[in-house]
Amino acid sequence: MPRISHAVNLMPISALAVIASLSGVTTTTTDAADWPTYQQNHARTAVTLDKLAFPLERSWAHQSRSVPHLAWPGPAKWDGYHKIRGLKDRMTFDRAYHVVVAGGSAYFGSSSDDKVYCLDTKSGKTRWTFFTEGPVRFAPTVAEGLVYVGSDDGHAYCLDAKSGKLVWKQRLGPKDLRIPGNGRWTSMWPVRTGVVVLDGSAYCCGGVFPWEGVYLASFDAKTGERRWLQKMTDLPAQGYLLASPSRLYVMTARERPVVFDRRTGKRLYQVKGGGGGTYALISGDTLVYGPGKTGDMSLFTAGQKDQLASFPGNQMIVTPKRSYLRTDTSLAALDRSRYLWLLGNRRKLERRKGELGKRAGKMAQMEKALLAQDKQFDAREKARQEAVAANPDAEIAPPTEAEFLSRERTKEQLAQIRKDTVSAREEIGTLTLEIKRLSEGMRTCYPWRVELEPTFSMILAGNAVVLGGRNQVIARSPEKGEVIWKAEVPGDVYSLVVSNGRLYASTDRGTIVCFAGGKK
Amino acid sequence: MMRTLRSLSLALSLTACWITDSKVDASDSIYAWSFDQSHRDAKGFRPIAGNLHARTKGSIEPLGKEKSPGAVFLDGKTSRIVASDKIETLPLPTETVHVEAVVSVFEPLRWGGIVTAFQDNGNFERGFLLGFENDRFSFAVSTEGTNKLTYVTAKSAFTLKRWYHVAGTYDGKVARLRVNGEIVAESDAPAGKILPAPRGFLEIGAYHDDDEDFRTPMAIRRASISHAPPKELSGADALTTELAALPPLEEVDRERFGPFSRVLGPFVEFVDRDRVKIDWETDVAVQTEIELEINDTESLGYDETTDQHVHSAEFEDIAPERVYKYRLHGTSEDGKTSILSPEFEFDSSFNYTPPPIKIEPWPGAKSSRDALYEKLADRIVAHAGIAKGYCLILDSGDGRLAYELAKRTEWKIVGLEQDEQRLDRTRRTLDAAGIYGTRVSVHRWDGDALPYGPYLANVITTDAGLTTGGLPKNVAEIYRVLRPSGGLLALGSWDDSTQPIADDAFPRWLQSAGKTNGDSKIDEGDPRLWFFTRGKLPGGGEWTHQYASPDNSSCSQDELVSGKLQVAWFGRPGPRPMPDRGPRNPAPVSANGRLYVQGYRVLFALDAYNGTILWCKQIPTMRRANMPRASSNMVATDDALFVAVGEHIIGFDGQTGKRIFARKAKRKSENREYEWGYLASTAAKNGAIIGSSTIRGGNYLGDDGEWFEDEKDNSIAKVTSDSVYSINPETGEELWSYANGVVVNSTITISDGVVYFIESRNPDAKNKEKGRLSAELEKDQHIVALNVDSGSKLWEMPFDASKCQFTTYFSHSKDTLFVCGTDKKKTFHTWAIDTKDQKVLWEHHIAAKKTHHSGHLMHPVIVDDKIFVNKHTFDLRSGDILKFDPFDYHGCGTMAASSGAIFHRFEYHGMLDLATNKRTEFVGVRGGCWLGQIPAGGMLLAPESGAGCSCTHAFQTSMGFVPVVEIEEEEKDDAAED
Repeated sequence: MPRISHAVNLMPISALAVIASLSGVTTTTTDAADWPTYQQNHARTAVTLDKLAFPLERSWAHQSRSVPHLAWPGPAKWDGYHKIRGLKDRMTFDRAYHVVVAGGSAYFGSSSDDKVYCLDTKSGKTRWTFFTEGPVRFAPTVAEGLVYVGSDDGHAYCLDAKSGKLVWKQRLGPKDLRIPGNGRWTSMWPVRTGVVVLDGSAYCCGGVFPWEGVYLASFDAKTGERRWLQKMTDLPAQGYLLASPSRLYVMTARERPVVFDRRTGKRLYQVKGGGGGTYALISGDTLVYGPGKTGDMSLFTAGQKDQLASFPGNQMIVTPKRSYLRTDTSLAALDRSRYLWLLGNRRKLERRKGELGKRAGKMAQMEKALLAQDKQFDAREKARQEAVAANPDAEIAPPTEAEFLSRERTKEQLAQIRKDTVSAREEIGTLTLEIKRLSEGMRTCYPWRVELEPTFSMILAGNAVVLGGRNQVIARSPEKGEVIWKAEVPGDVYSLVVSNGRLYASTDRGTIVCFAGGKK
Repeated sequence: MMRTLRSLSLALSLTACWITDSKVDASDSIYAWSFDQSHRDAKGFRPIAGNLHARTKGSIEPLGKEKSPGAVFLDGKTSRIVASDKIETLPLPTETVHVEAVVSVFEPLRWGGIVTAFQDNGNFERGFLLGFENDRFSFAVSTEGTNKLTYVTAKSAFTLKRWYHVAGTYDGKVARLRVNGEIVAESDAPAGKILPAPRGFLEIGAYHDDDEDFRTPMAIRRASISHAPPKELSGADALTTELAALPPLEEVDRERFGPFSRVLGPFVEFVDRDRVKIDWETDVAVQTEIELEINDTESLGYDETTDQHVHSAEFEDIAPERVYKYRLHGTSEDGKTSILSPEFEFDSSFNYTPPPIKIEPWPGAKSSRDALYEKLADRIVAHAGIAKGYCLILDSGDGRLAYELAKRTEWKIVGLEQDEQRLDRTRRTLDAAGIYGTRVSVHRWDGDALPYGPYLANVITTDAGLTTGGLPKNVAEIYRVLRPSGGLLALGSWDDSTQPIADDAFPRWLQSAGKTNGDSKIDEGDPRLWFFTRGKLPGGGEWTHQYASPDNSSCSQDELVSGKLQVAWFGRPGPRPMPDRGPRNPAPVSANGRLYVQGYRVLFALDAYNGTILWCKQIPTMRRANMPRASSNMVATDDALFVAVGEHIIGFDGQTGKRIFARKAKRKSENREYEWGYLASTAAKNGAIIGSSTIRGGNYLGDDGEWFEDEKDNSIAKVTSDSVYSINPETGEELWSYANGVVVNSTITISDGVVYFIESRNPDAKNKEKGRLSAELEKDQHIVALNVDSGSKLWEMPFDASKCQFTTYFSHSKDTLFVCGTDKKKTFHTWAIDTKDQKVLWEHHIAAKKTHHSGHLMHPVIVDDKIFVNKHTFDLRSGDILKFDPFDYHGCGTMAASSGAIFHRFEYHGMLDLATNKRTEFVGVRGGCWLGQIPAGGMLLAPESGAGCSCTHAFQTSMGFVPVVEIEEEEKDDAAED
């Protein structure tokens, strides 16, 4: 199998750009077709160039004795204050046993029996297991023949990939203190970020209660020696850690991610924008995260004052050429660059329209007030004339010059306001048309869109968008979205992996099914 | 079964004959419908103007007698009439609009819709709607001038079950609301064009947009939308004539459920991962049936074959994380009694039974001790007397004791092992037995310090120790981890060759832990086994009532909870079962190491020391809200939880959830329907229950996420009772009863053997048909003091608390009765009355210092000789202002106290230590919008209360906290011993 440096030469330019941002992958010695960490790489792009030879056949299935034991229950039924239903679960990182694949072995951790498993990818047979002392909720990372996992017992573990023997382990919290957490024994500082391994360092966090301290640490990947330790007291660390060449992105459960300098561990900033969650990926210098309160992907770029954009959806796959957006009920391909350009323009126009709308509203109020003034003048004048008619001898003063002038001014103002209102409405009309045109343009940024039954996961292989659904896994063509292949699996598919021509699907029932096709 | 349903449905239809009304003028209308049977077809109602066929769904029953104009009744639960679900495609008015309907509302709602075409999502408000807010009709329109929905709302309330002509008009400048032809509200705030809703529904009988879907229980005769009012508006006389001809509604009961209100329950509880049990009781013996809706086309059925009072049904194959709907229905054999419940639902997400495991035969080596292990496990389980909890086995050996205990219980068992090789071997053995993981695990141990927080273990024993007779080393460490209030320590000398243990051998060993508290005994069946049951934590308080105890002090007197706190446990219940943000809901209660939490129509009992869910029942008829104007429906005693549900009070065994007691509210008047009002217990054990009866409809339900922050009568009217009484909880016998005026439930206070409350003797208040007291009726008020044992009146005094329009609270301490409340100007009024001579000791009237989010509703707290209210600290007896604390906090919550700290929602859960004045905030966990943190049993207990908050608070979980100081002291003690 080619090393990654070799594979890069074979990639199309668009794919090169994707991989280029993933320095984590470039420094490992795993095969190009491996899937050595959650969502394939530390940018969590869920993209591989590895192709699947359809139709795939079920190769083997591993059934765990127990279903995953979730760290957290689902979301509230509704936001009663705002009358919003359909709230999203923002912490779904452990709904299935997430698999990684490297060197002919598949690895996963168990949240129900606290073990790390190594399976033979061809037969599905267990090669070894390793006991930790707490639920292992996150997928391992494999690098340089070593397997790294974090456990709710508060430790990061490094195991020999071949034998499963312990190489080193490090506690993240200040002491070994365990408490019941959702029915399982859990450290006060559980490791719920997975472990990122990059440039000879292993990174992970321990801790979910900010007031007890939440610790982000860097270890020597080979020896486990600690290089630096950073403490947070305002946010927890939950969700897969992400890394770029210079940054670490810590997911903070239902909150927004926090960014750290990877070399020093210095905290840089908290991402601005949407409603938070534990799903994220990095594309270039943009962080995509969500799903927020009701299912939105927020895009944030370093240096921006606010979020760049948001898309309704639960998951996004980004490649330079085309992106894919999965919502509760649909899958769409997206020309993201063009979309964002049009969106930027539309926002400008919407702002202007909003200003004009407000102005038009104000003018309507002013018009009403001026009309009332005018009416009052008429009423007074009418009364005066009636009084004169009734008593011609009486000395009834006519309106003063000031009153006449005031009335003239009122009429002039009314005329001006009406003119301005017409002008504002005309401009609003023009803007409305332009916004509509841009909106239509944005709609054309979706080369295709298909309606879906419920889906829970999505990855992009070399020749297919693969979706995990309810009791099924489906492959669709990246070009047109049509179904290429599908197969039944038991349960909701929350995790997908493609590696060396095999497809692995993990479900909420604790099942891992491996499919294989013909030779590539 | 379906036949039964259908026949019931027909029986409830009032008539089968209607006349059409051709006089409904639709000539000016864009859309108009007449809801009589002549316009009805299989799918809904044909329009009389426009082209929109109004589709119907759910229960929409015809009303009307022969020769009277027809109308329909919408039940507000299942019913809907949808004219369009794509309003963006309709030519709805954009310059001016007129919407009218002839309608009768059956229940006040916070969000009532009659004819609606709108979106109201945060700041995005578009379209128009004719509806009502609580019991006032309203009309709203969104225009360019306001960029939001502007509401015009009637100033006076409508009467339920009465026909009205309601019309909303926007003429491009002014929005007006007419009721029966008269303008009742108008606003010139709207201006310019109408901002249309870009999507959504044109719906009748619902308040429905992207985010909301509230259905209205109402009767409707006709509805129309036009650009402007008819050229000739119907005069009041014409409308009167039209309304008078409509079907009478007094006999139409929204709750058309026969004697359903007399049903006890239903109670829904999971017995397995996919099996649910529903049980209920009926006054009369009937055969009942349940139809459980699986999906649109399938249902599961349950039928009884004999008339019975007690009913229980079990359903299998229940899928996880789904909401199931069901009804109870049936008829007694003599045909005289029928029951048909409303549509209930249960949520299979609230299934806390353990995951199924298949326990394999013991995979380890056979041993002569196998039978002994089985017997030993039997004895430990028998002594523990609990089915759920945490168990530690020190020196767990090859895991055999863990295996036998796992077979017998649902305990979460941890073995502790010092030998590395045996550790791995035992793990693999238990794994092969099928129990390793969620049921049993084995941890590495150095033989000394236990790596666990304090108080967590329900059972601690030892495998090696029992079989060899050896005693664990670190007794203080074991005692530290043992749960108070019943935690079991099981030790002994099991070896066949050993002799019965000396009576004092183990007590002497235990004494080396320092001061201990509990009962020690030798097993009756085997003198080689010794058991110690830990008692309550000395100094630990209890929070058994809404405000800690019946004295309403909001102080648990817990002497342990202050200083630095650390997480002791976290877990379920999470946000899903809880009312959104816990807005003014009943507080959790705790006694004897158990925590009881009332979610949204679901009840939880937890082990307060480790968070184990002991039991969970979904009770769809259980609900209370608006605590500032009402009283809680939960009281905990040492062994039981009492809950008021509808007209019943029900007692549950605290540990198992088994129903042990039920009684109905006293009926002062046979002509009225009642529900249980106030509830208290006079002692932790064998105390009397003090209750009261509220005329039905008095208690608030808060089903629509209400905050009860406004000044409207539907938010601030106080829940009242027309009788207060005492009953024996063993026998249900009434011990005494008091009835005179209208008693304000939120003031009932019991302290030092006296029951205090305020009552109004105003005849108008007494004659109210609903158990609520409006501010304008708060006249002729008296404070009354009764002997709690006999009910005899000790004294009474006239007292004008009418200033307290928003709330009235009583609390008592040290011969001082406090009357506290706020008025509509948000001024806090506090009076202190000496209960010995009934003289006012002092009074303060101070503007609310925290008005945001209803800080003016805060309940006072009494700690020792100080009372805390409205950011002030007063001396209890003199009223001197000891301190003003300007610290800002979230106004939606209220305070709770231990002897050393006050707990409150800052942004997150927060604490003020009274000794050091230091504030602590538990960042990331949102506090609830009333009383959600309670100090009890040496713990701070904080059930989840953020629920649907859209805020990005980092996590949502129930938690227990434990003082760290105590741990450190114990650690110091340990060090000293070493």
